[in-house]
Amino acid sequence: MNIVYGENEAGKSTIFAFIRSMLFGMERGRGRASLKDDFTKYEPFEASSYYAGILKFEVAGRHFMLSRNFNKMEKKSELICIDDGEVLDPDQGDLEMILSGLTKEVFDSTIAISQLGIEPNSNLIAKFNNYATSYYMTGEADIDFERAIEILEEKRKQESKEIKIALEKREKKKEALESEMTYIWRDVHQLEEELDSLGEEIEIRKKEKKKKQDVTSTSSFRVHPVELLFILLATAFAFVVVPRPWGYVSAVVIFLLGIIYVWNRIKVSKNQIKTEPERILETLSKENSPLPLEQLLWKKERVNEELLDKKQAYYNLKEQLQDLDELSDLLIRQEEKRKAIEMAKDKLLLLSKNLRKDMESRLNDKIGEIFTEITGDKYEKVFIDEDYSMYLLTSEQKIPLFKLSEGTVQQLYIALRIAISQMLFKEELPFIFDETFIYFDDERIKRILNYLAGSKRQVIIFSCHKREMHMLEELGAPYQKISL
Amino acid sequence: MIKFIHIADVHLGAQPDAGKAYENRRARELWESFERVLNLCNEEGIDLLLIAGDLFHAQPLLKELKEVDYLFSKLVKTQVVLIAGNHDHMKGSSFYHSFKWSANVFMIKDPIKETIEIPGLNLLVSGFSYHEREILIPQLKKLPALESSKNQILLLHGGDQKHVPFTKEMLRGLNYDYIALGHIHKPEIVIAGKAAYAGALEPIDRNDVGKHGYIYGELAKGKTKITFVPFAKRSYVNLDIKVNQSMTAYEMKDEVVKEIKELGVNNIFKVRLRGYRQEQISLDLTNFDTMGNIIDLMDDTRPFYNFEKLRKNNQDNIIGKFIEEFIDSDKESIEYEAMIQGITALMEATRI
Repeated sequence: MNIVYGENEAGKSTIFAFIRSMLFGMERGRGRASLKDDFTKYEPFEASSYYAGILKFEVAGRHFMLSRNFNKMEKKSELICIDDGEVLDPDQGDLEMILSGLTKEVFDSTIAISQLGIEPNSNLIAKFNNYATSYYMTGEADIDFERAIEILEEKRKQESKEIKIALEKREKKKEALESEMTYIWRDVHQLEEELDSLGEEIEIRKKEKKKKQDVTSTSSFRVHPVELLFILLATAFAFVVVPRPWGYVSAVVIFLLGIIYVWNRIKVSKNQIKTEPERILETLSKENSPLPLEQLLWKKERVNEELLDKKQAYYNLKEQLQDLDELSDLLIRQEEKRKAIEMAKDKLLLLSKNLRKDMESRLNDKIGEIFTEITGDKYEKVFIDEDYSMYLLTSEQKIPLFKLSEGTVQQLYIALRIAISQMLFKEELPFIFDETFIYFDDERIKRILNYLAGSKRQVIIFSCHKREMHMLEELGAPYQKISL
Repeated sequence: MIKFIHIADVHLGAQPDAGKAYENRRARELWESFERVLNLCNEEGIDLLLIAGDLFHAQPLLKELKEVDYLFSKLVKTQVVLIAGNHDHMKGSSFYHSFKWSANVFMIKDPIKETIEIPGLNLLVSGFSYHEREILIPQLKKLPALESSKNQILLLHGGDQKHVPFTKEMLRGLNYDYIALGHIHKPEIVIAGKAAYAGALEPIDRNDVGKHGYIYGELAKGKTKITFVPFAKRSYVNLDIKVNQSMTAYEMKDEVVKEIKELGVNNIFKVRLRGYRQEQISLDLTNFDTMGNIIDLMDDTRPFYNFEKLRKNNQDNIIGKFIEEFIDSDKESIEYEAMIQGITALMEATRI
């Protein structure tokens, strides 16, 4: 417990700024901002070339010495472990590591507790969520959890893409088969039509042939024997029945007529039987000379065979198409890998959500604990909702901060800060109170000092009042006074 | 003594999977090997060629039957007996029904049982042809050998659940001098000197690894001696490459190439990389197929993580909790793979 006491203008805030600048360096503002930045503010009035400092501190039993020179000409920083002489580089993160990852931002948000109103609680809690989640989730390993999720998502997309490509390849194969099938089916149609027309032609030819056969068979007797008989009978009749001399004449006339008739018939038939060369000439001279029937029949058989083959080929292709639908081994494995990646991602997200909830409830509990100790009231519970607004929970209701008294809110504020510090840092870092208790009443100051005195942490309180010191004496708590 | 050759599952007309180097040739190679067997029959004076089904990969086209029959007709001394298998089963529209084979070829067409006598060999060959795609009943009951002093051979296509299921004992009980089996593409002597799968003459699909060819046999005085003769032009080879943590991606590729050269560049390879690799190496497999004969390339390597140790060291944070969810799952399961993927991602996202 340390009280840095000094009246106004004694330089308390300078010392506070010193601590801050030593730990985190001092950044110069740019342009306009440089007129009023910390660098300018704290530049020594005299001897501005000597703008430097040394800070000694102890972490986990090890002693360090940190020296910095802020002079723009000779900017330099040095960190040495006094115990073993190890030289470290404060600007390369060695210092941050020693201080359990304390950065300037975190410093301002947690252990540097100054006057109320600088940072609304909700911002604080939101920030806490961000720092702490990572820390809580991955412990010392310092893993960028968001990045890990990103990586898994990228891998999943990659696998999905590969699966898509493989499926597209298969689709292409299917399309090729299907188009081949359509070609074959077209051929099948053509062949069927050809077959039909051939069939018709053959029918016609057969009929023609039959007709020809009938014709030739009926005309096989050029002169029908019945006709001859009739002529002879007529002649005989004329000769016998009709009275002489007309009988002879009529018989002869009929006989002559008969001969003329027979002669005619023979002549006509002779005309019908053409000679071989005449026939060939006839076929050659005709324009669309039809093929002979035997050739047609043979052609029909060929076409039919081709048609059956094509149909069979079509059927075979159809079977091939069905086989393609079966999943290949490779596809199955790719699908499994994709599922595994999704599973990993989902599980990580779920676990992180749970851890987060866990952490939040712990924070709530801690704030409640500390708050109870600071206020001395019976156990009060604190509740933080999704927007990071704080509420005080009594057994009956949820009380938002604006309904509470100023003092209570300040106490809550401190409790929050302390709780976050405890949860974030493995090491017990010192609390630095910069004129924090200005608006506290006596009772409250007593309570908080009691609490702080009871903890093993180093506490540095900057104050321009003597109140704190008197309280500590009343409590019988030892402290170190530093007067400026 | 009857000298015979037993083949099966030639699958003429199929387009087997092959790497880029061979995919255009494979279909033709099936025909070429078939022709080579027939030439062999002439060269060796084989008395009998048994074809135990699936001569064709699908319904045979008429022109294909004519080609095959022409090749059969060139056989000097050999008689051929064939049956239809499940792939070339005798549908109503199948050309097998009406096709006229050459005089030395006998096709057993009956769906239940048919026995033919081979002239000059004192031999009866029995069997049946598939008329459907599947036969779920064990039809063997209808197939015992006849009472005869002649030699008896059975041609039988099947042997799994959907295609005439049977057991070794059932085969023994049939009392044939030899049972020529077909359907299983992997050659296997089921009962020494009594029953065997000739296997596919040439490997047809990527799972047909190992040697392929025909069975040569001699049948005399009721006793048969058979040997398997490798005859295929190319084989599918499963190549497992073990990697270790010291290897780079290029090294792994060279190892693959070396193994392929050793095992024969004219074969077709299914490559699987296994083992634990360095965490940072990521494998890009696209350039591994330098010779065009790899049809499958799987990366089963895993980055090396000691999960147990990781869990112990991270018991109260998300890494430990994550591992706990999956560490007990089977090494081949999706859950285990999920664990690897998750941890790999977390490690890759480590801020150093």
